[in-house]
Amino acid sequence: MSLALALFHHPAGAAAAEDLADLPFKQLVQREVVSGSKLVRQISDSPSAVAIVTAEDIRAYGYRTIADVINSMRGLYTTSDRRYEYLGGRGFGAPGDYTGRIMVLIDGYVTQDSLFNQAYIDESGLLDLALVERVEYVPGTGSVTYGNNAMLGIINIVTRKGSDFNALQLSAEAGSHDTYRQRATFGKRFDNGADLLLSASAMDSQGQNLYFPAYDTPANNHGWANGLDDERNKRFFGKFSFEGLNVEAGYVDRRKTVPTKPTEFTVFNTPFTIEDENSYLNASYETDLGLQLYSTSRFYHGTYAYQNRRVIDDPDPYAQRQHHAKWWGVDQKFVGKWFANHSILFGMEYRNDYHQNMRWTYYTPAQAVASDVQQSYSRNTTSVYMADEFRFHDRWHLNVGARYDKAGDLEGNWSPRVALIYQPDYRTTLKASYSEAFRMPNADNRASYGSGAVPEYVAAKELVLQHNLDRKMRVTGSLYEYRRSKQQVDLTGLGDYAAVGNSQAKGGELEFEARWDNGIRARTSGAWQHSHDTSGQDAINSPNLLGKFQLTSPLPGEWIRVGLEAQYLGSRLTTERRRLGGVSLANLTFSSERKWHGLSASFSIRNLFDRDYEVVSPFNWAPGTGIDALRMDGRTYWFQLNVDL
Amino acid sequence: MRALVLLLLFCFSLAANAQVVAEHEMKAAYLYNFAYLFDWPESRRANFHVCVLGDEEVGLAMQAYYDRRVNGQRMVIARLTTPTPIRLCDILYVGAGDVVNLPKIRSILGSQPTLTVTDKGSLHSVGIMLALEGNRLMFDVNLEYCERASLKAKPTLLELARSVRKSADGDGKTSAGR
Repeated sequence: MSLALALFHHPAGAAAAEDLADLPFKQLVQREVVSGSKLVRQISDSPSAVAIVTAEDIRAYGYRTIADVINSMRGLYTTSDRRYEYLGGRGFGAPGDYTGRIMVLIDGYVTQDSLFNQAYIDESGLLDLALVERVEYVPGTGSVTYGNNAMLGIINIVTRKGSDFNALQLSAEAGSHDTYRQRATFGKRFDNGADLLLSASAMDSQGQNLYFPAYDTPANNHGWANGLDDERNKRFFGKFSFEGLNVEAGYVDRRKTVPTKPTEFTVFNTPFTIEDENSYLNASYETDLGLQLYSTSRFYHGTYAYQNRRVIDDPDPYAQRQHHAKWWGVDQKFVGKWFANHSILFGMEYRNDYHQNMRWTYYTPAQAVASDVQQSYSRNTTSVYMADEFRFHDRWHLNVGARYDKAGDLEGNWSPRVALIYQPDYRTTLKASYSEAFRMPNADNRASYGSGAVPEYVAAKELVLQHNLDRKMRVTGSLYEYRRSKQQVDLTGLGDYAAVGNSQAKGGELEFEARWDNGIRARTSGAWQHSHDTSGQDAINSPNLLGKFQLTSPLPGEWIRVGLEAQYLGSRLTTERRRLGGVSLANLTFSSERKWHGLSASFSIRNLFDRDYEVVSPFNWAPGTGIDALRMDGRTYWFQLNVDL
Repeated sequence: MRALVLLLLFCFSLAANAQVVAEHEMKAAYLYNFAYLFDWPESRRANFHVCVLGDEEVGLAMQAYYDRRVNGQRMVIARLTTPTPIRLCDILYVGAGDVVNLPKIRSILGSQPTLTVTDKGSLHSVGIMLALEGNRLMFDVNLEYCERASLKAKPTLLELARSVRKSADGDGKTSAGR
C-alpha cells in the first residue's frame, strides 16, 4: 500500500500558474478544471466526525440507491431482507428495526413516514441518485436540532441544482435480473438567477427465482420461490429556487413482490406484494433581516401510504393491510450574530401528524370480508430550540444547545447537547461531546404496545480527532459510547412487552482520505464496535468489525474513470445467536470522465468475485433448524447511458 | 485479484502524469485577470492589492502572481485571516471559510472601489461570483454592485460572463447572457 501511495503522490505542476498568467482570458475560461483537489468540507454544523459522499463519488463507484451510498460510509452497513434495506452501525441495526432510529433528510426535510418512522433508502426512496449532489452522514444523536427520532445519526441528502444539468438529460439503465430504468431530467438556470430542476423516472425489474433452504420440502416447491421477486417504481422530483426562496416536491411509488416468508403466518411461495408511496412538499425562505439577524422559514407537507396483500395460513386465507398518513409542519429558525464570539441559533417548530390510519382486513376463501379493523391516531408536536456556538478563545469553542419537544399525548422532553472543540492548529481539530436524544412511540408502536407505548432514550459520548496531513490527505478518528434506555422488551417471550430494556454500544472508527490534483481519490476506514442488547448478550446483527476501501482514478487519456470498492462485513450473530462469518465484497465501476457530444455512460460490476454470502434475517425462518440467514446476490452487472439534449 | 490491482496501479501511475488545472489555480488566474478587466478609479497607491480571505489554497495559488505589473501598479498579495484590514484591498476574494462574514464585509466596504469575489453565498452581496459548472469555471457579474463601487467592467468581461445582474433601475443595459 505504501508503494501505491508513493506512486500516486505526484506533486501538482508548479509551472501551472506561470502558464495560466500568460493565457488570454478568453482562452482561460475555456480551460477545463479539475474540481477542487481539496478535501470536501462538511456543511452540517455538528461536533462529530461527518462522512461525505459527493456526486462524483456516486458516479465513480456506480451507486444506485442511498443504501449503496450508506454502505460505503465509515462504520455503516445495510442489510436487505428482499423487502427493504435496513441501516446499521454503532450498535444499532437489529434485524427488522426499520431505518427509523437514524434520520434521513432531503434538503432539510425529514423524510421519515409518520406511522413506522421508517426512512426509505432503497428503490422505495424518494430520489434518483442522479439528482443527488452530496450525502453527509453525521454520526451521533441529533435530537438537539431535529427532536424526535434522531437517535443514532443524521443522513443529510443535498439535491443538485438545475444549473448542474443545464440541459434536458435522457437516461436509460439496464441491469442483471431484467432490470431497466428510464429517466428524463430537465435543468435550467435562468439569467435572473432562478434555478429549475424537473425529473421523472420509472424502474422495472423482473427479479430472480430464489431458493430458500429453510423451506426445502416437496410441499414448498423444494424451497424455490419462482417469479416472486419483481419490483417497480415511479419517481417525480421538482425544485425551484430564486434568491432566498426554495420550493421542492418529490413523489415515489414502489411496488415489490416479497419472495421470502416474512411472518409466521404467511404461506411460502405465494404472491405477497407490498406498495410504499411517499410524497412531500418543502418550501423555505431565507432572508437577512438586518441587525445581524438571519431567518429561515419553512413549511412542509408529507404523505405516506402502505399497502400489502398476502396469503396466510388461516381459515380466512387472504389478508390486506392499508395504512395512510399525512402530516404538515412549520419551522421558524433565526441565527443572530450580535456578538463577535457567539453565533446564536434559536427557533420553534410545530408539527401536526393529523392523519394516521392503519387498517387490517381479512378475506374468506370466497374473497368476502371476514374481518376489517381500523385504528386511527394523530399527534401535535410543538418544539422550541436554541444553540450557541461560543468562541471563547482563538482555539477553543463551546457548542451548547437544547431542544424541548412537547407532543399532545406525551410528557415534554428536553434533548441537550454540549460539545467542546479545540483547534491547536489549523490542521487539527479535537471535539468532545455529550448529548441525549429520544424517540416518541410512533403509530405502529401505539398499535402494538397500547398504553405501554412510551418514549425511548439514548445518551451518547463521543471524542473525535481530525487531522489534515496536508491539504490533500486527512485522517479522522472517533471513539463513542451509547447508552440506550426504556427499550421495549418481551418479558415472557409471549408478547408481554414493557419499556424496561437498557443496552450499550461502544466502539472506535478510523478513516484516511486523500485526493490528488491528478484526479485520483482514495478513502479507507475501519470501524470496531462492541454492543450488548437488552438481554446483556452480544447484540444481534452488529458486526464487530467493518472495513471500507475505495480508490478511483481516471484512466490514461482522461476519458474513462475506474472506481474500485471493497467492503468487509465482520462476523455477526443471527437471531438464533449463530455466528455468521465475515465477508469481503468488491465492486468495480467504469464511468465516462467527460461528455462526448452530450453522451455519458457508466458500467458497474457488483460482487466482482461472485462471493456467496449471507446476511442476518429478521424473520423466524424455520425455528430450530439453524437456518436464520438470507442468501444475497452473486455477481451482477449494470449499465447506464445518458444523453444531454 | 493481484493481477487486477497491478493493472489498476499501472493505469493510475500513467494517469498521474496528465496535465490538469486545479480549481484553486484557476480561481487565482481569474482574480489576476479581473485586475485587467475593470477600469479602476485613479489610485495614489503604488501597489495593487489582491486579498484572499477564508481560502488557504487560493491564497497560496495567488502568490504566483506577486510582483506582476497591473495598469502600472505592482500586484501585492495579502492572505488575510480576519476581515478587519479589507478596506485596503482592490480585489477581495472571500472563500468558503468566511462566507458567513459577507454581510459584515459589505458594510465595512460600503461603496469604496473594492471588487469582492466569492464562490459561495449569493451574487447580490458581491461583485463577481465564481461557480463550477461541469468542469468549467463560470462567473456571474453583479453590475449593480460594480456601479455602486465605481468599478467599470470592460466589455470582454461581460461577454464571457455566464450571466450579468443588471442594476436595479434597469436602465436598458443588455445582459450578455450566454
